[in-house]
Formats: sequence, structure tokens, C-alpha cells
Amino acid sequence: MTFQYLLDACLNVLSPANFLMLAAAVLAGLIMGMLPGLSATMAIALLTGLTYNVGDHQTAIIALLGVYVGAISGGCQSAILLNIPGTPASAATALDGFPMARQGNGGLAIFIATTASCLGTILSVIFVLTLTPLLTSFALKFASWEFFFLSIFGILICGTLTARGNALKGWISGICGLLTAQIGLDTVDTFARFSYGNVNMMSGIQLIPVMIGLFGFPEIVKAFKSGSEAKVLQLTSFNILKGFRIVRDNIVGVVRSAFIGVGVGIIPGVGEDVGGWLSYWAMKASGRNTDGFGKGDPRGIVAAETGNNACVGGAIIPVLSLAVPGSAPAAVLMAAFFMHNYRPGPLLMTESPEFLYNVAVYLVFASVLMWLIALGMARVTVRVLTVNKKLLMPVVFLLCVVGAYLINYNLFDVKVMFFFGLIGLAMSYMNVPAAPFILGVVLGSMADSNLRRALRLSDGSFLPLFERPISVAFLIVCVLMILSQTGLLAWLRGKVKRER
Amino acid sequence: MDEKIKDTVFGVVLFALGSYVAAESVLMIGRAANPPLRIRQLSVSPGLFPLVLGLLLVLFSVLLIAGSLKGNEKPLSVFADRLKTSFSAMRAAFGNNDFLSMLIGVVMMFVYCFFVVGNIPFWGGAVGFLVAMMVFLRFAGPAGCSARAANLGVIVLTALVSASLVVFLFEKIFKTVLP
Repeated sequence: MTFQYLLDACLNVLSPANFLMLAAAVLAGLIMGMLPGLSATMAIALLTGLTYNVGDHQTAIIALLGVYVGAISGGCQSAILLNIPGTPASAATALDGFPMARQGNGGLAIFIATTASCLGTILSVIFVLTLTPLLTSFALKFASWEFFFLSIFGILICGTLTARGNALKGWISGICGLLTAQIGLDTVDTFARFSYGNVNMMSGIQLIPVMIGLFGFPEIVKAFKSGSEAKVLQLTSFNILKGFRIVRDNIVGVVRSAFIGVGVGIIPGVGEDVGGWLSYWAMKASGRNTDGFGKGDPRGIVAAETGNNACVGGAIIPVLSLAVPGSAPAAVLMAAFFMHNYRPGPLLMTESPEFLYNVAVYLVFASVLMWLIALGMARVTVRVLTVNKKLLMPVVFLLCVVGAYLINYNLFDVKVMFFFGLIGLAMSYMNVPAAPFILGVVLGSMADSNLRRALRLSDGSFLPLFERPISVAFLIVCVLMILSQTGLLAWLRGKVKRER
Repeated sequence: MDEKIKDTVFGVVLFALGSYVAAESVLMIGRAANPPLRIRQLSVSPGLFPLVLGLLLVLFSVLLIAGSLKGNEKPLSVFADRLKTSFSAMRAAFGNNDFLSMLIGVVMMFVYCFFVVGNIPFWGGAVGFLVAMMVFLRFAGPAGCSARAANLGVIVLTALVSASLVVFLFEKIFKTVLP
């Protein structure tokens, strides 16, 4: 059956319309990923609105996965030639990519980065195919308490890992997201919360306008500031043979980075940038002659790009098995899956088992096409880097408005996008991460309904929670995380030591 | 603004938000206890989760403020000083060109989102918005930047082509209806 599903998916993607759509989506993703300020999240969010009316749902899914892979990979070109990562995922690539470009090896750096990106995604697909069914069967043991704690665990870990030093800010961001999800009629009793009699508010706040606002709006507004225009370095020859040799010589690092990337991707809400940084760090820590890192060592590029692209597959695993997104772009992707009549979660392998294989095959095709397009059209696409953002950003804002509107054909969503854009701007100024906020919006309804369902079944008693091993494990991890991040764990340890 | 001052101000705003959410949730619990729902048990009330979130927000905002004031001998006077500093920083921002550019840009986007979209045919509104925005950025941009170098003809042409492409893509190719 598995073979049949894989074959069907291949035939699907190879149909002329779908293949063209995939190529166009990958190219669009590459361009959006290259442009600093236009993130992968924003690219998928915009395309979600765009694909809403596409008749064939498979075509829409192909386009969304194509733009995801393209955007995460495209960021490396601006990181290498401009020293400005196109997406946060490519931040670690700039460390060695830009010095290489300054040494006259920009083409080679782009070749290595693109090849590593392609390998990262393909390796992550192996994990998608093997881990998703396992996690799905494990998730079938989940009941209301487990789902509630899974949401809380997701927010806590995402807040901790994205807040860069101050976990409290990440958690606050997550709570604000959870609160946003409480607006509208609740799913258990259809009681109107924070709606103030407004019909639009009663139907709740849609994820896509919030996402476009939080991620797109601040970048558009920041482009209005004056600043010197960055100089794009010249794209030199790819030096393909040398590039392949470098990748082959570092194949162990590629596999290790893929493992790290998938692992990071599976953690709820933690994105591709963390995958890139951790892989870079692991390559540096395990390698010999590491003095060249940060000065143009190709091993740094190999690790960073494999790691961040492996996150693509990693982030999709919890989407498919638990309906919990592994990263911010995966959160939009999940919303898009729901919009196109797929229900990711523990029942996915029962209700539509073919979907997992479709996603895996589409990812492989997208990454191979990405490799071909990124290298084949590099001389054309790098010209995009010279486009002035002050002329580009008003057009991007127009697309944000259209993207927000098309979700429900409702002007209220445009206003929501603007409102959350202002919140995103304030959060960016205050150095508060936006990813936990988005995760909160995604998981808010799940957390609330499962908590109340569990309490209703136990007639208001919390005791059944302690009779379920998985929920107790989640509870212990959550409490430990809070205690360690707030310094209370160290304080308690010190107190115990003093008493002894 | 210094990171610690930002944290203090952020904490104050969150404290106000958390208090409001908690108060609103208590009222919600009261409303749910009345007909038609008659949910009198707090643990199953629709106001429970928002109440918990509101209280958590208050708690975390206090921790954030306390963290930002840590190490000061007179935290209360430092707290008051920081609030004053932040107000004066906000006033001073109006004299900053970058801030003004961003503010005017945001106001233009606000006008477009709230008054133009839906009231004027999309194509006309989009061209008008793009031209206005690009002309504004042309004058607001620093000397020597390529946006500044772009002349009015190029701006109008860019706006016309961009708006037409958006309309063509969404209305003709994807068969959607734009506002």
C-alpha cells in the first residue's frame, strides 16, 4: 500500500499543471526567501490566501510545500552575497558565506549552500516517513489532559528557546497568543468571549491575518527608516566539482546536521534558525582546525544550510501526527492543510493515510527543483537583491492586504492584520519573539477545550490528571522548565544544600 | 531606549492588560452562571481559561518588572524614573526623522486598510496607495538612495504595473473577488 501511495503522489506531482505550479512556487519561495524582510512564514501565509480558490487541493498543497522549501533555501543567497540573511534561518550561513564571497568564492558558497539545503530537506523526508506513523500511533493514547499539557509544553519550550535569554518574554508572548485564541464563541458551550457584541469578533480571530500582521508588517514599516543600501557582492563561478567534493568530504556533518535539524524541527514552535545555529555549533565543536570558522570555512555553510532545511521536514512531523506545528512557517502550513480539507493529528493515518506520503514526495520534488532552479537561475534571481526595499515594500503591503482579505472575503480580517501588525511592531521593538504568540493562537482553542472537557468528565476534579502517566510526565517537564528558567530551581537546590 | 527601561514599560502595559483580562473573565464567569447556560461550577466555566491566562499575565508582568529592577537599592524610585524617562523618550521620538517616516507610513497604511479598501474599487485604490506611498518614501528617503532617485514617472509606472499584476493574478488566474 505504501508503494501505491508513493507512486500516486509521484504521478500527482508529475502532472504538467502540478509540476508547473511546483516550479513557480519554488521560484517564488526562493525570491521571497532571498529578500531580507520577507520571511518563509510570510511567503506561506501570502500563498495560503492565494491558493484558497485553487480547485484541486493537491495542487494547493504542492504549491505551499514548494514555497516553504524555496523560501528556507533562498535566504542563503542574500546571506552570502549581502551578509544579510534573507530569512532568520540563514543567519548562521552568513558567518562563513559572506567571507567566502569576499574572497571571490561567492558562487562556490552558493553552490555548497544550495546542495546542502537540498540534502537537508531530502534527509528530513526519511524522518517524516518513519517518525510520523510512530508518533501518530503514540498520540492515539492521548486524551484531553495530554492534549492540554501538550499545548502548554509547546508554548513553554517555544518561549524558552526563541526568547534569547529571557524565557519570561517568550512565555508572555505565548500567553498573549493563547488569549487571542479565546476571542469569539468558545468551542464547548458556544459562549461569546471578548466579543463585545461584534459579529466578526464572535467568529474568532483567523490565524493568517494575525500571522501576516505579526511577521510581515514590522518588516514593511522598518524599511521606511533611512539607511545605507547594502552592496551586493559579485556572483562568481559555481566551481561545481569542488563544491561536490566539499559536500562529500563533510557527509558525516551533513547527516549530523540533518539529525539536529529534524530534532529541533519536531520541538513545537522552534524554527529553522535554531536548527541552523545548532548544526553550525555542532560542526564547529566536532571538527578539526576550526580556526577558519567565521572566516569563510565551507563546513560552516554545509552545517547551517543542512540543519535549517532539515527543520522543514522536522517541523512537519508534529503537524501531521499531533496537529502541533514545529515552527512558525509550519503553523501557517497547518492552517492551510485544514483549509484544504485535511485534518492533521492522531487520526491522520486512519482518515487519510495517503497524505503523509504525498507530503513526503512533494518535499523531495520541491527540494530537487529548488536545487535546479536556485543554481540555474542564480544570475537572474540575485538581481532581486538590488531592488530597493522602499519601492518593494508598498507592493508587499498590498499583497498582505489581499492575503488577509482572501481567507474569508472579509474586510474585518484586513483590519485584524493591521492591528496585529502594530502589536508585532511593538513586540519587535521590545525584543519579544513572535513565534510563541503564533503557537498560542494555534493551540489556544485546543488547550481551552481539552482542559474543560477533562474537567467536565471528572466533575471538576484534578485527580484523574495524576492517574495518567503521560500527562504526569508533561506536568513534571513543564514545572521543571518554569522552575529552571525563573531561577527557582537553582534557589531550591542552594537551599537544600545549605540545610544539609 | 535601554533594554531594562523597555522591560519595565512592557511589564506595566502587560500588568494593565492582564488585570483587564482577569476582571473581564470574572464577569464572564458570572454571565455564564445565568440562563441560558447556568454553568455555576468554575472548573467548567468558559471564563476559567481566560481567568488563568489573565492571572498568569499579571504574575509574569510583575516578574518582568522585578527582573528589570533587580540590583537597584531603591527599586520604587528607579521604577518611577524609568516611566518618566520612557515618556520623555516618546516625546523626543517625534523629532526623529526615522520615527516620523515610520509613523506617517503607518498612518497611510491605516487609511488604506480602514477607509480605502472596500470603499473604492480595488485597482484604483491600490494604484493611489502605491503612488502615494512611493512618492512619500521618495522624499523621506536618504539622499543617494535609489528610491529617492526614482522619478515620478517611474513611480507611477511601477504602481500601475504592480496593481495590474495583482488584479490579473488574483481575479483572472485564481478567479477570486478582490475588495
